[in-house]
Amino acid sequence: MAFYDNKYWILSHVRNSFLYSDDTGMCEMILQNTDIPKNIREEGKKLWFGNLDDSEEEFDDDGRIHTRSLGNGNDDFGTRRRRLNTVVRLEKMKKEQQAAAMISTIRWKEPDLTILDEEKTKWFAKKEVVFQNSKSVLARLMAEHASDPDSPFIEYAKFDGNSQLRAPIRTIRIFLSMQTTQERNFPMTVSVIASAKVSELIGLVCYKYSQEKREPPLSGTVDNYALFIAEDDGSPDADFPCLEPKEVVGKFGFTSLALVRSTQPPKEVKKDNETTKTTDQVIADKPDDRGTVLESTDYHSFKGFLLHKVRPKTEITLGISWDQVEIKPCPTSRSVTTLLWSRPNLKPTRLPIEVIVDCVPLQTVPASVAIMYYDTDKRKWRRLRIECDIKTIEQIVAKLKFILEIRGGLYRQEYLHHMSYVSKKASLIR
Amino acid sequence: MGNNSGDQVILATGGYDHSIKFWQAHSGVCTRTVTHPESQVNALNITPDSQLLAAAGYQHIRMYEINSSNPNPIVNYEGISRNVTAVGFHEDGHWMYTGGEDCSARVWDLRTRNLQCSRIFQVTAPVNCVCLHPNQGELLVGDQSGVIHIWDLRTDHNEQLIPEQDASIQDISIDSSANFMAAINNKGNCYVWSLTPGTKLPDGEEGSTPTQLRPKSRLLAHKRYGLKCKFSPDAKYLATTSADQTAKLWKTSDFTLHSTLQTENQRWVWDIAFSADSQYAITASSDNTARLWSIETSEIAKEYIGHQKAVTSLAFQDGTP
Repeated sequence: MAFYDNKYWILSHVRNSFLYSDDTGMCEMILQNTDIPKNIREEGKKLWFGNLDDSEEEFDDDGRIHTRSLGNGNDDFGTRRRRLNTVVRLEKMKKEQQAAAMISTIRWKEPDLTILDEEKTKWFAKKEVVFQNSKSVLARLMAEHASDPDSPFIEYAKFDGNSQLRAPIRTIRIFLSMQTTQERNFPMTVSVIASAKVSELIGLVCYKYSQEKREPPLSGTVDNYALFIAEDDGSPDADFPCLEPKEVVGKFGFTSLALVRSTQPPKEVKKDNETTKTTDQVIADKPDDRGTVLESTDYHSFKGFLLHKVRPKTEITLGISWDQVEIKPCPTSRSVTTLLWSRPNLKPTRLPIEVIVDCVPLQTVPASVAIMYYDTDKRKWRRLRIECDIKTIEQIVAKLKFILEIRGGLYRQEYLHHMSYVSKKASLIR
Repeated sequence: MGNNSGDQVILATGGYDHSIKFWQAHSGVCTRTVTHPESQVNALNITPDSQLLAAAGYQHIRMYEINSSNPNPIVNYEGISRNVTAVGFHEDGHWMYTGGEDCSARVWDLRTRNLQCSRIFQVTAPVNCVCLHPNQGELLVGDQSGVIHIWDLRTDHNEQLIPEQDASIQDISIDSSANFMAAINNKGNCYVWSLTPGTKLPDGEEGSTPTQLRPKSRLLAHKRYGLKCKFSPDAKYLATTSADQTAKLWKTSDFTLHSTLQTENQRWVWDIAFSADSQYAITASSDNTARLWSIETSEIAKEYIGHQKAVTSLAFQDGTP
């Protein structure tokens, strides 16, 4: 072992600290051309390793503090610099020492052969064997908890970072989009082992969700759920696709994610298929869930085709959340056919909910829905026409109307006023 | 936890992932993980006062507090050159016994730090298992050469028994009434003896004669490596576990097969324990999972999932010991 009494160690520690903590690279340039004096180096190495092979230039393994290629580990995300390995190591050693101090050690001692017979009789005498029939507490608890349903996600419990020691873990806040807004303000903090896959993290979240008896209960399998990058308010950021279920959690550095339910299990991106599905297609589970799921302020997205005046329709994803309506061309439809069909100038657009004034189903074939809004730039009413199946139209209308009823602003009032005026006029004419 | 200790159910499992996990037995939830550094866990046992868990590993026996959140052991028994394969306690907690691959069985005095009454019993082959006779005065030591040693702790008198040539004794069990003794070997064969308690000598001073054994039955229990054998608390069943990915329950009335505990994913079954009413059994397996089985239906009632590697030992206490 070599530490602060070792010149070489200190010198090289200082040098490496300079190299490592200097962003400009100046230290590296200067230090590169100067080396630790040979006598100090050799003496230091001897002190450290004893008579070790001299040809060994860099220390391996334990000598990690010596290697210059200390670049960011691949588990390091973002720009935050990692702390010096030495500091981390010293801290770890300190902790281990503290822990060791708490453990009392008892070494085996060869027995005293002069042990007295009385002692032997006292401690090793045979007893009468009495059979005791004891009651099982486990059986009672099992009976008491017989009705507790087993979580279908229990197999994912093993990825919980809290019950693991040493394994690197990630602690992530998970916003649960299926819960009510009130409850969504309290995201679940999940520790997951860094080597788990995203799908396994989803399973763990679902498991903890059921353990905490959150409402509404989750159903299905992990394939029915997806994790998105969460915005500051906890809503899923629809600008990015969901995290690929097969990826390893440790790869990502996100501290907040949002769990959403998707209708289809995630599929591989299919080539030459116009209607490629993505997991961010997040709509209500079942028609009878509409009351609860659609009448919420959660983010939901719907598939459809945006209709244009001249050019053919574009496949889009319509996202509706508490603050805004967003329209973006389908991110995964990259096949040749779709490229030809889609308008190249269609950029993802966001409309704040304040400018949305109404949403009505249109009696067209095929079915479509119109979203009316006020264009604040051109100062006029406009509408978007989106073609999709009747069920989706119902859902869009229900959802948007629900939000508008709560959040409808001045434009909506003005519009409604205007419309009632128009219809009154029409009835008068009639 | 937090209940009075008489009502406490303790389930701990350990294995190759250098950790020991505590479970809520009725729900399958892992409540705590403690470190078992630098070694697999060979054997686990709970002290009679339900306060400590002993874990036998390479060169160490470590003691962990059960009702605490301390992830580290509080006592470390060392000074053994090789693997410790067995650990157990005198029913009043006076001493602890261990067996190990250093060809010896030991008794550690738990009352004082200087091991006043420590004892050692040396054999010629690595010790695989040690079983304490319910009379608290005899240790049964099984070794790799296939010998069962019956060591009378009071008199140091010992007897040998070789049920089968060239077969390593893997585990020994005596039922709580001391009517039967069973031993399983690496061939998967299980031998059963009926026991007659030693008679007391007239003067009482010299203790008693050793327990007498009469061969009772030979079970061709498993086709592969046998690992553990254990009598249920009511002595109605004898459980054997094996590398053949099953645990089997045998009726002690006639030593015929009662049921086989197996499931698709299960691999080597390393350890088994019974609930106090002999209605449930808990197994530990190489598939990283411990399982609770209903004995009546032979079906899995709970799974304890969380270990990253094989689970090779478990300790279970169902209410008042």
